[in-house]
Amino acid sequence: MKRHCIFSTPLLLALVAALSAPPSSLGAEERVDIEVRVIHGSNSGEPNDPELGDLERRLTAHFNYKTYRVLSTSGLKLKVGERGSVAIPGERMLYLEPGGIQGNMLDLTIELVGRSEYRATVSRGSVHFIAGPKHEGGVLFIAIMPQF
Amino acid sequence: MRSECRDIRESLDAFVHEELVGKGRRRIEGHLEGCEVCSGEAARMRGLGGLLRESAGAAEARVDFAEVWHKVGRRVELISEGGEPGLLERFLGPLRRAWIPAVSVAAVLILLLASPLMFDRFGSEPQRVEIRSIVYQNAEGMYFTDEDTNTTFVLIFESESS
Repeated sequence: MKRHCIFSTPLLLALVAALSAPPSSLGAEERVDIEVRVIHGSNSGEPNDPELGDLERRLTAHFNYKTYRVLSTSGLKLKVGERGSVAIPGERMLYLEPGGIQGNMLDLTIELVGRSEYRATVSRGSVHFIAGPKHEGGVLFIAIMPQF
Repeated sequence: MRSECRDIRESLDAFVHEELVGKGRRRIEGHLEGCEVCSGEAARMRGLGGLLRESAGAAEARVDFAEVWHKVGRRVELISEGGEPGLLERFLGPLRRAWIPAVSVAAVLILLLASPLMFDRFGSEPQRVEIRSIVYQNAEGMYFTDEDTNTTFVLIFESESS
């Protein structure tokens, strides 16, 4: 029994070290998948769009529009330093550019043309919303969901 | 560092901020008299405290907070008087009246008090979502993070003319 413990300890330590090591930084050629969903918040009274999924909970926790509908879903596959764009209703344009990954954080430059531009460091599994552009009696919520 | 110094350093912050009394306070006073390194550290900590107090005082002198509250409150009223409720009115529902002025004043305070010293203290490695260099164009805005759901919202308040 004692012998078993002596042999298993280094293996256990190696396993723990392997599991706790941070993921390596993203190489220049690797790509980040970014899903962008454009959601319309309004008071039309229709039921919420089932396509919202988990986003419904995140929105209704802070905003009290009666209805949320998904207007479009787009997927981008971008290299570090590559700029991608998504057309937003109302002749608006959203630009996204991943700047690199450190651990479980992604550096992302986000620009909604003519409205705001900034760099955000987003964590794995997080959702980033741009909220407020007006659209057909309501407002747009642009959900940015990077996968890396 | 000597072990005695290590013990003293653990209580030095409380000592500098006058939170220690009696025996604990006398023990540190006695140590500082004979230890140049720790007394230097205490002086440095007092200096930082003074700097923050000075910044807060300077902020108070420069900003008329009553006026800030009035302007923010008036803005909320104007939004409330308008026809269709906008994003701001939909945000947080009934809590917004208390939340918006509080955040505005807090933002002014944070901006005025922020210094490289404070950033160094908290470190530059973000553990959660962080937003940098935000620029609003033809709009006003604010942002917040819901740490429970790991969600960040950048709110854009478009003016009627934009």
